[in-house]
Amino acid sequence: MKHNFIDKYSSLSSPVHKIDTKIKLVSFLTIAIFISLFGVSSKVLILLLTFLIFISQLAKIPILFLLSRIFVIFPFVFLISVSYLINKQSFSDVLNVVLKSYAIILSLLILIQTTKFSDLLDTLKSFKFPKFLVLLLSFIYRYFFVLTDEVEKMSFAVKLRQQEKLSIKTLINLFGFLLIRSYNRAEKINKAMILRGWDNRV
Amino acid sequence: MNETIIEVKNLFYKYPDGKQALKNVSFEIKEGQKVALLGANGSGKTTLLFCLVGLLDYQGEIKIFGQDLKQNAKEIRKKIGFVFENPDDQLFNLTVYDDIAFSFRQQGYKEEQIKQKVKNVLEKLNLLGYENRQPYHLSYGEKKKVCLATALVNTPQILILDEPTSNLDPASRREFKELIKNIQITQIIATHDLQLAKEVCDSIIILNNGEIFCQGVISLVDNTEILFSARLM
Amino acid sequence: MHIPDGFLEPKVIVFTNFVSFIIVLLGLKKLKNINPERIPLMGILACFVFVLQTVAFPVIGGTSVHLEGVVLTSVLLGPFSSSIIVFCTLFLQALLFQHGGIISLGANFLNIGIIGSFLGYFIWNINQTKIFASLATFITTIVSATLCCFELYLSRKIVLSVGLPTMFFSHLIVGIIESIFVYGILSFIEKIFPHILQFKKI
Repeated sequence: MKHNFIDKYSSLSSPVHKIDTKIKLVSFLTIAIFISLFGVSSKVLILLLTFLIFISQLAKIPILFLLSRIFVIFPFVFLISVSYLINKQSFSDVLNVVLKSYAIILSLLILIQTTKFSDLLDTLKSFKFPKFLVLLLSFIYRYFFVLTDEVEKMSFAVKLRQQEKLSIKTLINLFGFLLIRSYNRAEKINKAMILRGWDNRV
Repeated sequence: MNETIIEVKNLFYKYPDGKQALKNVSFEIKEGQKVALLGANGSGKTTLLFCLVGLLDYQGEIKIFGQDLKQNAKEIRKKIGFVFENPDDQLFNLTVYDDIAFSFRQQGYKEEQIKQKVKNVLEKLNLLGYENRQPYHLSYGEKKKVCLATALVNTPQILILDEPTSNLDPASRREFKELIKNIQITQIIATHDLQLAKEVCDSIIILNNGEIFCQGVISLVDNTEILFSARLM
Repeated sequence: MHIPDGFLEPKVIVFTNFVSFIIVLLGLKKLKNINPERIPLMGILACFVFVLQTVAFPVIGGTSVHLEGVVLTSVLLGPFSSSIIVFCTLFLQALLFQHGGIISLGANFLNIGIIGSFLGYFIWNINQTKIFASLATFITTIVSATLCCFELYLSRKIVLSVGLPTMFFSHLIVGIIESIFVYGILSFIEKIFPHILQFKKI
């Protein structure tokens, strides 16, 4: 079963895609850390957002996709809005938080959607990010589609046996089997790695 | 030229749950031979192959290139290429290039040398341009070829293939068959594909319930009585 | 709950990231010389947890919850292994799905990864039975929701009179579902594949 890549726009081509990943990563971190640690006015944030949207369009990332990502923060926006209401704080404070959050999200999206995941991992390694963590991250990414396909196939098998909605019991069995298959797969991968000379030098 | 390259004597292996997977298996393979390893499901083919590369703790004696396998497993493995049945078990890196380069990186080769070796093997298998492709998103046939590439890039002296043509469509099967036919090194091919065995191999070993049922020249494959008794027909 | 970027104050960010940094470093040190065959296993389990966290488990009324699976990994492999695995999954979720922020990764890892792995393991270790694993799951879910609440409160974003009840009641349901799930998966494993329970807990 073919999947949409999680980082589906990273294989496009644009001036932004061609920028060295190190530069993009440092830029993202600078923006994120600065916004998180210092008070930034909403006016400045709006300017920053305009700039980021411009960059994102240069990178050919669909604007609707970018705007839709703001929904992830909605539960928290709701929570703080209610609190601010009770505390009689102004709406502009909520707006400031939303703008800060979205500015960081947008810069992250630009980084991720213009960078191949394997390049990102290589860059992290070059910044002395622990190799063991990079190895685990690459395993997760590599086998994500394999495992989700298995879940999908198993749930089809369930549906074909007349159970339209997956009950808790079925889900437990499904994930139980997925766990066992994962374990067996890990054993085989271990063999494959040993056969190619790997000796745990991480 | 026709030296014995693999020597197996009185090989026994028991699974952790107690089941005896291999019983008193003995055979010899000479350099340049292409052996088809046949046997019904559960006969012990994959287990035997894993023993031959020192991945399982067996009882008995296995000598490869004249050296004891258990003492020299790491060195011996550098000269053996192994292709797993399921490509997802074998291709665990993010790109085709990384998968093929893996064993060289483990050995500390420089990137420049690796680049050349990867290019050579990709060219041999008609896979130029696949360097940055992600293994999971390749077709099954392409994945199998990449697996073969990872095994061949080390220029091995022995090539071991576990069910190489299972699940391949007829055209991919034909292509794969041609590829391995043209590789002139000692080969052991575990398979159910009798056609493949006939066209590529010169000898066979048939396993039945963990024991050697018979072994000999490839023409034995036409003996329906033998095949039937070994549950291969 | 995975806190997005922009919602936490500097003091909370610095403190939580510092604690998380120490734990990750400690975990990496403890795992430095493990049996090599644990590495692909951790990789695949990390992928399993990642897939588990992406699946929506249906509850009554058409709503669904997301499970974390932290106590499960802690019971199988031990608290430090589990922490490293969960750190990677949280990192990837933040990176690829913007589920939780990058600067707030420290806070989310503290709430979900550290509490789930260590407190969860501690409670399970009292009796090492499925019931205690379920109990551990329920308790850690509530504790992590409460911690999340306090982090937002200390960042002056919510009032406790709104935050605590909301977090508490929403996580009550998640906690119950996840405890049932953990109980079910462990029963499943005991019946079909007890081998996987024998790993040394690091």
